Amino acid sequence: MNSEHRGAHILIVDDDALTRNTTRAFLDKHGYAVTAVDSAEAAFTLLNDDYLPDLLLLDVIMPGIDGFETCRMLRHQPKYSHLPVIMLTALDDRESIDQAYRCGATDFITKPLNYPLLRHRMQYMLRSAAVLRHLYESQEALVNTQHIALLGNWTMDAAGDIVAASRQYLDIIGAATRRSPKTGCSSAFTAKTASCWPPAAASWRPAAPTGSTTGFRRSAGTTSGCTCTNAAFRSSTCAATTRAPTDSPRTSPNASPRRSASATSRGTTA
Amino acid sequence: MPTPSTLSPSADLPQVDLSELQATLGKEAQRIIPIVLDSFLKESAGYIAALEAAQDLESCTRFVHNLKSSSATLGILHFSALCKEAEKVARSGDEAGFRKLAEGLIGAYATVRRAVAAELEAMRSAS
Repeated sequence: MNSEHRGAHILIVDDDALTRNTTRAFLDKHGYAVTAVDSAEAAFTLLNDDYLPDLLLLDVIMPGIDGFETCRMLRHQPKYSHLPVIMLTALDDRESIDQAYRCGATDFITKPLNYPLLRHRMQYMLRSAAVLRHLYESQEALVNTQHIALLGNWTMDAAGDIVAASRQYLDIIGAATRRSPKTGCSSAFTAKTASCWPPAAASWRPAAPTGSTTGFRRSAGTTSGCTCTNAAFRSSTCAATTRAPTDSPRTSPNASPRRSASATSRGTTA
Repeated sequence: MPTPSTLSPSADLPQVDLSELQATLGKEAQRIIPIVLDSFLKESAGYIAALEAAQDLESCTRFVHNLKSSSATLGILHFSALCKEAEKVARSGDEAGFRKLAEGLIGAYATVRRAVAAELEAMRSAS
């Protein structure tokens, strides 16, 4: 067993004792911490008791709540929205396989189970889940950091519409609109950005903010950056990252040097 | 040396072909297969009893579904095919047709059970 997954908690939900016992015996041997129950109701009792498995093996056909409904119910709870769920379906049951995905299953495996294949799939999913978890933790850390630094990030498409923005950015824009654009990283930038929210102003194009050390001009691809308003430091920081460039970024003389064709340009304005 | 599944306990018993399961489980086979066989004997008896008691069609569908899967795991392919057919008929809602097939299943089960028990006994003796 891959050592990174040793001790991973696996919950088996299957009313068929043969599958349950065989799978448990197999996974036990490979170092997983296995819990097996014979119904969705028993699984929910465990889950409501704060048991959080790393992966769920879920049979489709069970008395009471079936596997599809169980998966659907789990996906409605944020806590389990990204829990890897492998559904156990019959070999010839295409409809079940389709339905499994519609209900939010991460993957399926057919019965009779091919145990080495099951193990490979589990390892892959546990690895993916770990990467996803790490990503969420990073995002959470970023949100917290942005909150402290009064920094928000945004992404703009080629048309100049802001297509994504962090909550902190929206807070900044809201604050800038309510207070003074001077609290933004530059008055022109903040005022323009504020005025184009919600993203309806397709005609708005990013231009070098007044007083900014970073300038950029795009006609295709997306542009991402961040906006900072931190009065305590009496300075603002802007960073802009351009992707899939079709023309060169324009930078002011005191901007950081361009690094590559898809360069990241950074600048600071006091 | 022949593995227990290659032994032929009796000519009239259905074949229990554990070769696929053994290949799948690899080194774990010797330890896990007796658990599987034992589990089959316990579970299947319950399912067959429920079929004999003519429980509701929905429950019976689930029982033959599980029997289909578990007998396929043990390589009892003829019995698994009977279960598959019964499940298909049950899902179509043809209760009379299902009951007829269920009778056949119940009849076939006695020999399946004997074959699995013989296999389990052979494995235990060999270890």
